[in-house]
Amino acid sequence: MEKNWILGVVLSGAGLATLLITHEPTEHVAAFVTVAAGWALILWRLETLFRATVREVREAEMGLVHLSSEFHAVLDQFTDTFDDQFTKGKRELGQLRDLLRDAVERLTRAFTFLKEQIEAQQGLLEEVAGHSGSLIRQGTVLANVDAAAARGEERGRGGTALQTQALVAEVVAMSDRLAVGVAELWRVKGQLEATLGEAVMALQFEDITNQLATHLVDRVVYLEALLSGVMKIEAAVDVNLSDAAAVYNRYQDRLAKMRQALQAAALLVERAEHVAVHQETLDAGEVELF
Amino acid sequence: MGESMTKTILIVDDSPSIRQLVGYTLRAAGYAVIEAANGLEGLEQAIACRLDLVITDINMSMLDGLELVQALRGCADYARTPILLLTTESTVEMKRRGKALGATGWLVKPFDPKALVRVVHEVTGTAGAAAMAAPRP
Repeated sequence: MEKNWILGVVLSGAGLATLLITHEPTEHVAAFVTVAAGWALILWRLETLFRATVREVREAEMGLVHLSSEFHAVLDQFTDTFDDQFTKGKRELGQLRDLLRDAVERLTRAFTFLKEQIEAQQGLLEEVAGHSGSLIRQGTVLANVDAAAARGEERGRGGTALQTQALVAEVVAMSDRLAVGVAELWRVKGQLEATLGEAVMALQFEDITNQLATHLVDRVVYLEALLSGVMKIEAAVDVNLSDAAAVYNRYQDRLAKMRQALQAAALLVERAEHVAVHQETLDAGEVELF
Repeated sequence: MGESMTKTILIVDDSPSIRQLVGYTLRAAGYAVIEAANGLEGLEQAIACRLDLVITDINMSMLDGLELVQALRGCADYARTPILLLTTESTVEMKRRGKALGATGWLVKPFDPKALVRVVHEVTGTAGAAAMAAPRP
């Protein structure tokens, strides 16, 4: 190809020189033909060069288009991963907030109930103690009357069967009131046990929210690994944009680094994706015996 | 209450609050409770003491709950001892793995104290002990 170019220049030069030095018409014709042949060779060479350049530009364009599409695919992967992780992280933060709110509500309810019951128990205990005291006093009186009657002193002391009956009736009534008070104490005890059970369930929020928070940290660490990969890529790029080959290489390098960042971050994805906590409230979990 | 007093239960959980709450619940029901903060500690406790029941979490460092079940089932002394998994995990796949390794049952956190005591009575064969421990008028 190069020979054609040189031959064209030589022929044109030789033809022009012949034209300048010869006076023979036949030689002029030959000289013109030589010049024309030389220029034809030069033009042919130029045309070949032009075609090759066009082909190279097209190939470069195709390469850039391909690179661009690969670049976009990797960028989409980054975007989708970010989007997915952020969405899940946001939902889990909401779950954490709901669990904490639920725990606070349950514990406040239990605390309020316990406080009320402590105040109520004071009155109830005083009432039961009062009934017990009265019962003991009346029982003592009754025993004394009974003992006096046994000794045949009832008349002397003014004791009568009517008095005894009245005392017995009073003792029975007090005993009934005491029984009601004791039953009430048992009822309250049952309520207190139920409230303690609620508190035990609510207090498990510490473990559940701690696990959820730890999982969220894993998710953030995964996102951090992805982001730091992207940031390193940006910092590494520094080329002259007018140099097409350098631009091509720059993007190819960036693409390779993005893929590396995705691969490195993928090592953390298992921890980020393992969700151990699915609870939305602190209601009792299911029980299954195998 | 007499029968349940003789039963010793190991609770394995990396959360001190869960160990405390399970301990409080089961001691109130008349059981002796010992604690371990991870699977390895749990295994050491199981070797050192004769346990009637093991209740374990799953996600723990050193040795996780499923690995602990596997290790205990490998010991002749614990081939038939009930093991309950008490965990936040509730997927079918995890339950299937637990069952395949030899776990006796699965309780999802948060546990209801009454339900826990009922299950413990059932798997340790101490049904009725609670009524004896807390007589009503």
